[in-house]
Amino acid sequence: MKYVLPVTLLSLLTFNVSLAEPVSGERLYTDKCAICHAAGELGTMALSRRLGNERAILNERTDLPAEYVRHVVRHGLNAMPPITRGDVTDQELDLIVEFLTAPH
Amino acid sequence: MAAKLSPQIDERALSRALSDFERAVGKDAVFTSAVDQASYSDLYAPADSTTHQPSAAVTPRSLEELQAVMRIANEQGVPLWTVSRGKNLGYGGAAPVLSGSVVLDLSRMNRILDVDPRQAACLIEPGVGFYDLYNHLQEQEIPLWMSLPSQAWGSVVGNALDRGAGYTPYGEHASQICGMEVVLPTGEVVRTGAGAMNNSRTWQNFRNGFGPGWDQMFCQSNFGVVSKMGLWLMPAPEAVLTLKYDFQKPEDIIWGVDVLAELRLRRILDSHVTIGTPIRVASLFSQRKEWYDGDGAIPDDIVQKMMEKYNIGFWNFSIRLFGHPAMLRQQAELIKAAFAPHSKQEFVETWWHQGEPVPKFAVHVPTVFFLNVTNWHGGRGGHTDFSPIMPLDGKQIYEQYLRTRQRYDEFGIDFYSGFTLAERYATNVNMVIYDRDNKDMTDRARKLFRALIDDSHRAGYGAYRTHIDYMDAIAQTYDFNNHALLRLNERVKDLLDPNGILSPGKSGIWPRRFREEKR
Repeated sequence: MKYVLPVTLLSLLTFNVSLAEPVSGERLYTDKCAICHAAGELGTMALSRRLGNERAILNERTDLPAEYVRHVVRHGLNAMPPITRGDVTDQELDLIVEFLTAPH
Repeated sequence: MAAKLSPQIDERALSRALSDFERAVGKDAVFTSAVDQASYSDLYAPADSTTHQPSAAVTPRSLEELQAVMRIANEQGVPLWTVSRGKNLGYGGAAPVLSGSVVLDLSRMNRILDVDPRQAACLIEPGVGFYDLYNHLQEQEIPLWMSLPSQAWGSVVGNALDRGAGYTPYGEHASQICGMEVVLPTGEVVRTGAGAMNNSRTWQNFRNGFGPGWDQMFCQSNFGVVSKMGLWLMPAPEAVLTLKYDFQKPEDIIWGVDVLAELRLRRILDSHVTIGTPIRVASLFSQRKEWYDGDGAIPDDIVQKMMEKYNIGFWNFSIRLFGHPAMLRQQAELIKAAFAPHSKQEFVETWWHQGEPVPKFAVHVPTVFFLNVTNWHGGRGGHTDFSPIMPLDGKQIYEQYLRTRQRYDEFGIDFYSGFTLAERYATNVNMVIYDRDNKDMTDRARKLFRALIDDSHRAGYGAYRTHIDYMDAIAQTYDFNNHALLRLNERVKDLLDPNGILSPGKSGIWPRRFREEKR
């Protein structure tokens, strides 16, 4: 069904994929990181080669220092490109780091 | 300021522009640190990535903020480089042609404005990624499919504007564009096609409106910033039938392409078919050192081992058919009948029906798995490709294979080639994979690239898209009547962008203020 609305009204009904409302670190990790770092994906394959299977899935790790995560995200590592602040804001990165480094 | 500014960029004007940008869009939307500059540079560059390093990036969130950024850029004469999400990996990523440009990053203009299930179309902003749109369609249970490129980290709009390709019947992405909203370099907002009417109810139905149609003018150009795009989506099919096949010998591609071309032209086969070499498969699932640790291109006996391990041929492809199972069975019979006179080999059939679990690598589900090619050499890998367009003609395609293969051997780069067959042309993707920390290899990769451009130009084939390093070189190959097309592009550029602020050098199009120096 298609309605024709003035743009101002239309904008109230649209879906904003930006993360203006509070979003959990886990959801951000899923959206921004897991496309490469879920099981079977290329980031996991690369980590498995470098560190072994037991340290390949990031969100199962318990040895990730917060500053290291921040550094790799902003600088990249090997074939992983750096992630810009346009793509993942500093606030979003804080939540992702919190999720990855929380006791679990 | 760490970034190397091109001499045409005034440092004081840049500094004023950055302050003005901060006032217009907020400090949290303007990025100027050395880390930011590096993160927006070419991540997979076959050379020093600072060659195309931006001075900063600015990320407007709305049309009004975008207009404000463009107004300031005009006032200060500061060049912007537009990216939708900056994931055009292999073609320069987010990096500008002109070092020191400010990246105009549209990642945060990421609203899905409308998805119309009955009209099978959407209206989206440039920051919407393939994953975003896919998740939206899934969460809202909208029975429409996107067409996806093999690497789907990027923007739906950006990929269509750069004429990306996918593997459904909607796989020629620029052809699915139906209506745009564009901010011209001077800040004026226009809507193309039927959207030019204030109360239009057909913006995403009818491309042309009345008078000249402008949508394609904004593809691969620097004539405006697309702030909204209408795109046609495919009604979810009842079933997908995949027919896997291979040609064991390189020369089999001669009859193979001719048969597939006839099927494409008659629309018995209505989606892109990519025919690729064994390294295309091996680089997804393994690293080079698992096969060979010698210098130079991987030799034939190793390629033979790849074929044996993966049970594939020299050329490998899958035909995909979409629709009602009864229709697909008929199409499959016609396809098999067309192949039968040439080979007794049978197709490997895989069916998927609506409601069944979606297999990994389904063509309508985004993946970035293809980026595994960058791990081929280990370490800091990189890739780019040279992709000329050819007619659907088996003999010409075989000759192109021989010519390019010889060049890969000459420069000692692993041969990775594919031909993607559209309805009336083939895109010959020559992937060049390298270790960015091996200077000898990146030098050879760059020489190979230049040789491929020259060879294909001599043979009459031009590239459809390219890396930022080669935009001038490719533009120069379109040389009819002393580059009349480039001169037309330049005239349009000067008219629409009198201050020359928008994406200088994109597709070889330089505004007047930079033109003489660049030549």
